[in-house]
Amino acid sequence: MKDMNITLATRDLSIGYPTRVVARDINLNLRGGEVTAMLGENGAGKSTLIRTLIGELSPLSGEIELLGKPLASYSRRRMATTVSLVTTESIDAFRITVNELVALGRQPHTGIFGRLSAKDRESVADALVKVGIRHKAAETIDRLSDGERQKAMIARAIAQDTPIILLDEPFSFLDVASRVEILDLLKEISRARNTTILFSTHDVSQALRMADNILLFTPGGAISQARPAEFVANGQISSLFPGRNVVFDPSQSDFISLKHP
Amino acid sequence: MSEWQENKDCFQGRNVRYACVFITLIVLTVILFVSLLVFGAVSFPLAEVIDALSGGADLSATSTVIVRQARIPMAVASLLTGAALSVAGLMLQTTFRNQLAGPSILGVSAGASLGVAIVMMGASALGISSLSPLSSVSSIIGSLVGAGGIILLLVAFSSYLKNPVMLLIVGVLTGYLASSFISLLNYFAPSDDVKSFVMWGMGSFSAVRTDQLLIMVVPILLALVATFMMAKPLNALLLGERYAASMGYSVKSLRTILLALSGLLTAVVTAFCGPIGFIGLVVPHIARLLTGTSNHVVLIPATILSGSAIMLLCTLCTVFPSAAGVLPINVVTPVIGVPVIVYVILKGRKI
Repeated sequence: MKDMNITLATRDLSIGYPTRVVARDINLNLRGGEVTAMLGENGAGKSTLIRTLIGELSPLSGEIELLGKPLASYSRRRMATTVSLVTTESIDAFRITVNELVALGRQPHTGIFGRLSAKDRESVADALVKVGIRHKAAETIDRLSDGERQKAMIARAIAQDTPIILLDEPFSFLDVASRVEILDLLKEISRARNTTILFSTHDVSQALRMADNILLFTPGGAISQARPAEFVANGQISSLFPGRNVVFDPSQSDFISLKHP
Repeated sequence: MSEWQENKDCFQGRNVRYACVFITLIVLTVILFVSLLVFGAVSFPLAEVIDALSGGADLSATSTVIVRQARIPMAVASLLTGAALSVAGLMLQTTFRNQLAGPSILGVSAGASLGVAIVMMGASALGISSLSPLSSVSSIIGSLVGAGGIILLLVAFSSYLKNPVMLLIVGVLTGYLASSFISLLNYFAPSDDVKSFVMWGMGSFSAVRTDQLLIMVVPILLALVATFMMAKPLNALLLGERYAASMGYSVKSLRTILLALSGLLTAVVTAFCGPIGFIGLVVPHIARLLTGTSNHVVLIPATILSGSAIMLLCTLCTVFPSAAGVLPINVVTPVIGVPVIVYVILKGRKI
């Protein structure tokens, strides 16, 4: 019996480049309404997985299914209404208003000149309210703080109105308060719209406390999916940084120094 | 509630600003266009110009002949050249996400020049007169091939061109290569051809004849219309190629279309008026400063209008010292261009 709520699934997926396998045997089952955090060292394959899931890179082997259909069967346009993306790329280098930025998310839904219908406007306004930056709608994005700008980018993804949102390190450059706020926001969105949210982060303790699922990228290319509590209980979380001078402390739910515990 | 009201006021403020900018630019363009018909080696009263245009005056009168045969082509060519080069620069700046991109910086103009040089100086070697009706069409083809070659090169190097400095280096190097070939051609060509090529190379609108005007107008207008249709994908590209791809675009074909369009605009202009520097690089920045936005729905028409107005102003500057005849256009454009580039480099970042 197929679980109808599984929106993003992979079977024996290997990812990487023709000359180098980054990770293999990836078996994921992500559901609507759940937030999943990817944890792993730099270079463990978090970004590579996102690139593969949006079709930027071809899988080396294995299958990817979005909403029960193989990724390869998706046209560009259908892909744009199924998966939206938030990256860490700097986007402050030009002057458009927050409202215009979020409206860009409607592009897959609009005609050749990108004119917004009443429904498009509503969904832009809705996204601005959801992330709590409606009061900044008329500001140009170069005048926002880093946290506000990242919220605006998330609002853009929400306005794209896709069942799956992928975020590549959405928290880099953000302070703790913004990180907590934005992760809260992602949880609310996933619950309210039954959206599947997958993001990569370096903040282990926050991911363990707030995410529904964890994808653990261990060096050597193994990736496993489980609930945060399971990884802590079976000690697998400790394998995140082998050979480094850190150890996982369950009481703090974070990594601490081996030398000065 | 009050926040939302403030927001609405702010949006209205933007629309008022856009309206002011567009009205000012249109009025300015019209005034400059008319001035270019009135002033010159000999200035005619406005009434005489209107007569000459409406056909009310004697067709063989000096003023009618000058206005119709010389000044109209010059004014129309200036108008279109300004629009074409500026909007080509805008597309290049967004495509490469680089505030220093432009047809002359990237070497597109140099490529077009080389194409024209081969046609102008190669044709006489083959015994074809450079005054034959074939010459303007073959100049366009030479220019297109030259610009197209550079565009292909740029596509190949495009992943390195995100760095502003790399871009400048590519432009300088392409320019050197082109001028080395041109020097070679100059060395072997008859001196008449060399002189006409050198004159062409300094940029001039006075070479555009009425009967050739249509060959220039049609492709440029078509390309400008096509540019308007690219406003939506250009806005998507502001966020970078990954975002554009995630919004359903094939970034590769998008980039090819945009480079081809800017190459076409540059090539047609260069074939007729010579390699005109700075306009394509500078005008998009002026349009951004005036409108305060990077949104291409506003920026494309603003760039076209400011480009036309600025080009007309430059042309007007070239006809004013009338005793010396018409100055080359490239004498004037750096005077406007260089300060803006310095400003952009000092202020940095915003495209």
